[in-house]
Amino acid sequence: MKDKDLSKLVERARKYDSEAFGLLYERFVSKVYGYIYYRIGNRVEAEDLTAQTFLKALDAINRFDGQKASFLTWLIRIANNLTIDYFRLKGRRVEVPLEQATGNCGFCDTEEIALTNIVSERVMALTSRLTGEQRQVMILKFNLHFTNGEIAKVMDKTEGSVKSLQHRALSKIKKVLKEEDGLL
Amino acid sequence: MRRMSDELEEALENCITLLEKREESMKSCLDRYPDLRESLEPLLRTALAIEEVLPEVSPSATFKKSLGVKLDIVVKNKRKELILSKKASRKGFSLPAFLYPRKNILAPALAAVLVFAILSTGTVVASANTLPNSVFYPVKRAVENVKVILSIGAQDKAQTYLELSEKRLNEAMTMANINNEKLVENSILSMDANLKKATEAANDLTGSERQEFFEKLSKFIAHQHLALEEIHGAVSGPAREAVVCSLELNQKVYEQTNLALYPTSSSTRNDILKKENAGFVEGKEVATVSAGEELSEGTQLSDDKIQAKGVTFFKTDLSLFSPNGDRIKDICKINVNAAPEQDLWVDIFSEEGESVRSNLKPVENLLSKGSYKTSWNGKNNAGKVVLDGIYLLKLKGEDGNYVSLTTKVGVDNTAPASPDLLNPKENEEISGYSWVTLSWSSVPDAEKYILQYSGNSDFKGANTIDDLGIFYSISVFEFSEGKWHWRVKSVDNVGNASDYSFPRTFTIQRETVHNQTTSS
Repeated sequence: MKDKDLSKLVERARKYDSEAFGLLYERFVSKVYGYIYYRIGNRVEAEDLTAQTFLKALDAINRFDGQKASFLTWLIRIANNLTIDYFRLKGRRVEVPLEQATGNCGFCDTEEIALTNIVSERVMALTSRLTGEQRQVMILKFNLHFTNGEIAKVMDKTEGSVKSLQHRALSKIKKVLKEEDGLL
Repeated sequence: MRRMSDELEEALENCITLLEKREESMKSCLDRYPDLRESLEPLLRTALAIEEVLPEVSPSATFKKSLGVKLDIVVKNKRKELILSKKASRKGFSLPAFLYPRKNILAPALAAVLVFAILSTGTVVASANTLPNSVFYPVKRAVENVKVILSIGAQDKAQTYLELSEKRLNEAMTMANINNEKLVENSILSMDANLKKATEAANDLTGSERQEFFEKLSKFIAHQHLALEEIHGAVSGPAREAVVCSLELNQKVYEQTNLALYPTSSSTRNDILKKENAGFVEGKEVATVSAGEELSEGTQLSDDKIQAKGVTFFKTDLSLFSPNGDRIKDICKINVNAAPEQDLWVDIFSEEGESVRSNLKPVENLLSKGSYKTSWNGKNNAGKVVLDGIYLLKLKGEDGNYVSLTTKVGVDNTAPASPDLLNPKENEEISGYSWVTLSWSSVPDAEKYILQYSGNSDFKGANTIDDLGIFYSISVFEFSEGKWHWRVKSVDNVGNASDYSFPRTFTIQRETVHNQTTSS
């Protein structure tokens, strides 16, 4: 969908056009859900927070400013605030779903694929060693493929801070892996 | 001069962007930064590994669809409110801006003003279809109160209260659809209050007025029973408790209605059946004659009894349920599609062919003719919960002959095994990490696990995590320094829960937190 079409949809949704809001929902629900799921690791609660995100977005749609952020960035920011509230209420606990990784590795050669697969089984558990912010950057970057500018808007940080968080997160994971079995 | 870490951060960001866009391979990207290669390569490999373990995930199709429907309703309601507020503004009810937000602090006062306006000018601002989550809802309720006050005579009052009960039921259903449980509860409490008043007023009726009213009431409570069952499955907490109370009232009114329509002096065998089944619906023991047995023997039948007609569907909503009183899959609903307006009964047998439960009476849905529903609470004719096993359900008409279509349902009240705790080991001392990962063995029948942890060995005031799903590992980072006890139990797909596992203990020792290193 082109940005122009998207902004037309948002304009219609501001007037509570149910078809327009429905299309926006269809387009972004999986991304919002994915972000929340990887933050909290529980499918049922991720669905609940996804529902809350869209209901809040509906309440606040007239305050959305397309000049400041894209619609998805705005939605993820709402989801992020709800996730923070969730952690506060739940005593900051995070489940670690040890799901097997699948997928291809773009330009990686066979050796790289093998190496990546050995490593990836443990990366999910290792990300739990990160600080909340580092983990957040990893999800926004590697699941939602946000740019540093978009991540900065979601997290209320500068792009430089995001870059540093990313570096520190990767270093931390790499260090633990290296210490444990010298894989990297 | 730029710091080395700044250069590395920039190189890392550039390479990640290029790799994500599939514009370069890792090798060519590393060739761009020969001085940083040693530090950069492991970081990029880590980044690729993370990308691989964070594939795109989607919510379940059911969730996606149901949230879509709910949002559609909310958007449409908001649009209605928007249009109403514009209309009100055009018609001279130019409300101050602070009255439009959803908070209803001033709503009662506003309602009084608007009712006066409606009565004196005839202008209708609040639609009859206004929902409880609307700012105009108090206006609607105020108008209704005026209507009650203006009702004259028992018939008029009974009719008005019945209409209000219907409205509240519809509102409760709509609020359940948008997950507003507080308003579901309010609507149901109000519905029950109106239903009680309707039946009180109806007691003063006589002759054809009485007959006519109780026929209407009979139709309403059949519809209400089905609707309440639907709502019961969609809500929790106080709203669900309100539904349970309402179902009890529904049962009482059902009995009262039957008594009014079919007085005891002229009771027929079917009337006895209806009353007996009314007892079964709520699982009460009924120690009267078992008319079902009389029918199934087939020796007392007269020629005018009618056989079940046009049965096309006969199934339960669950293939397995657990009538253990935990409110999780305690009841199995039985759905029948058949020719409309006939009396049907369901009998239940064990696999050995022994009669277990007789004469459950499916009620026809008034809004969907030919669609009948009843439920089984897993109890036998003596009111005792049946043993685990498969049960055969047979459907019969007034003549007592079974149709060829049968269905089966399983009863499972057996709890799964308790999980074995794996990590941390008993009395393990943990230091260095803020996180502690607790893990246990998976149990074959378990659909979810419940974890408790506490600083007290007797688990008094323990924290309970009951939403773990099928994961058998959890990382918790709220443990303070000291000794902790933990245990886990498993729950199967029909709600049967094991005992808690034998508890384990671990100790948290805090260490000085080391600064994070930013270099490789």
